[in-house]
Amino acid sequence: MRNKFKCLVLLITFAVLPQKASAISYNDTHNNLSSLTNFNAIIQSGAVMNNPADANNFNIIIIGMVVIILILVGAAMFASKK
Amino acid sequence: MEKKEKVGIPALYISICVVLLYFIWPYFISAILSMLSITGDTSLYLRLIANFLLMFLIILIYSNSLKNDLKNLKNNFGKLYLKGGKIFIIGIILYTIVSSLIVELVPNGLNESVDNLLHIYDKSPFLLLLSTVIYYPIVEELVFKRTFKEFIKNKWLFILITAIINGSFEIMLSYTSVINLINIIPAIVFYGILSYIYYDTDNIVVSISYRMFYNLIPCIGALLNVALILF
Repeated sequence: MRNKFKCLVLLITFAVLPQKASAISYNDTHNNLSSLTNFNAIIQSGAVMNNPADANNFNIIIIGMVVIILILVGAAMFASKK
Repeated sequence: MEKKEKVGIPALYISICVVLLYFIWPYFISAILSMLSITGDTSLYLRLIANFLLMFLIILIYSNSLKNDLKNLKNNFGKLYLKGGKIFIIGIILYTIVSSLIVELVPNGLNESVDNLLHIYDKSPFLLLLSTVIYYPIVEELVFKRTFKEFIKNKWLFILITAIINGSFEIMLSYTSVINLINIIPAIVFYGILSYIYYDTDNIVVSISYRMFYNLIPCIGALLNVALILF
């Protein structure tokens, strides 16, 4: 069973790697932002970048903050009742 | 008879304060910098210092819990990292599949959050390294996961809510085209993996470490790339 699982993991890895490589090369040729952008496809989930100068971001932040606080309060109330 | 543990109001206040502090801090720093008319590279360095100050404040708020986690990690180092490692490897394979599918199906749907990050630190790869390897993993894991842990006891609900919140913020704060919102899917998968690691190991330091490790690899690549161009 364990060997089967290992084989499956290896199979998936080798099936995925060429796709990932093509994704990287796609970004290489289509982005000309900077030398660092070559790694654009790899660092897919690095950080929550908030630009305070963007007015649209401010609206998202306000809505997001309210949603998070509501979830926290709701979850706390539910957890206390339990 | 065993007493049922109640969620304390102070814990809720602390969580709300951390969330407010995290979101309001950049605006507070921006206001100070614009009042002092500081722009350019100086502003970049000062923002980074301010970010690290925020990180230390959040660490200070959760200092007791972090101390316990570190103590627990010291006693069960191998066990916890092995447990987290298994989830991390399977999760990263899943994330790569989802991410590759998105790139193949929607080639124009770029993750602009990464572009923004690289743009900001284009001239200073070392600052990129400091931010992506130290600041973002610690602060985001504490803000988006630690704040919810005491209140959401259900495993899958915790993973789902924290991953959706973190992933949505990452993409929604940087998108310029609706098509780029598609990147919310791989982002949710990625943050879901880290939430799973945190829930299963019950140790935030483990999920922070795995996120640091993930961000470190491309950062080293980026630094090597710059070095190759310079020399």
